[in-house]
Amino acid sequence: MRLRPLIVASALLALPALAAAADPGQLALPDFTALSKKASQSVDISLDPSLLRLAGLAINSDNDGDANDQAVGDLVRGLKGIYVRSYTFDRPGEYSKADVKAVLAQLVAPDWQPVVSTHDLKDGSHVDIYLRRNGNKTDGVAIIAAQPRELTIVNIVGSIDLARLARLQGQFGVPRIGIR
Amino acid sequence: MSHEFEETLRRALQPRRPGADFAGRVLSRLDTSAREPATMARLESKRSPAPRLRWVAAALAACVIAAVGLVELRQHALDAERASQARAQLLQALSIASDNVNIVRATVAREESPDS
Repeated sequence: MRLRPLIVASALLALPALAAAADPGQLALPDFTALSKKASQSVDISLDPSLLRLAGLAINSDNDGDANDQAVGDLVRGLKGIYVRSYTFDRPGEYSKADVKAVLAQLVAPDWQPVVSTHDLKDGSHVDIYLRRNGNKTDGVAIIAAQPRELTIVNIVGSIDLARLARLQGQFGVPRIGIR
Repeated sequence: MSHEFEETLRRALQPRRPGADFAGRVLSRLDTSAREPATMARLESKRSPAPRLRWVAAALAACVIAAVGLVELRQHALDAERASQARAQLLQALSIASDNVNIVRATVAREESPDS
């Protein structure tokens, strides 16, 4: 009879681990408060499944046959979350690789696979895209874009078509943030 | 003529015996009339509070319904605001992600076609 409370306690302790396992494509993003204070412009977006659903409802309610809204609605249908941390600085060198170390440490094989890694010597930018695959499905996408005066981390949880994502560029009147 | 008139008047004014049960009849009518106001008063007291209570209950119910309706309206407005903010954030997040994917595509295209 004394085992029962122990079993219940063990089950309760295991719940957070089970919850984390429910979204394998989600990264544990560190606290970037220090970077945010140094940045001239910062973007901090965390859309979990409930907020994504709300956003989808808002898009559908505004959708008067608009092609852009239709495209967005189709694109986010398979998503479980979108997390963005983007910081723009006045001067280069305001952040270091150590700032993204905690993120890079999670993007290791065999779970995460680097699909594209680009380095532009001209403007000193590095953009890496990682995918987390589960068989034929994609569980998550991670984009790490490091430029001299800008750091951007994007984590998309779920399945998304990167080609369709690329086609959305410049739409919706959303200003670009230091992207050339 | 005046003699006949006087006789008629005398007969009309003559005292008459009321009968043996007169006192009983008077007393019984007195009891009934004394009871009726009390009965009427009781009936009145029973009738008057009921309509008043019904109005009070109806007014209270209307207030509760109005309050619930206001809360629902406010919640709907808050939900609409949250949805609008979530939509704006979603579009911004997708725009940032799209821009970076296109940086990669452009870089790859440049590397694949260095002469162009």
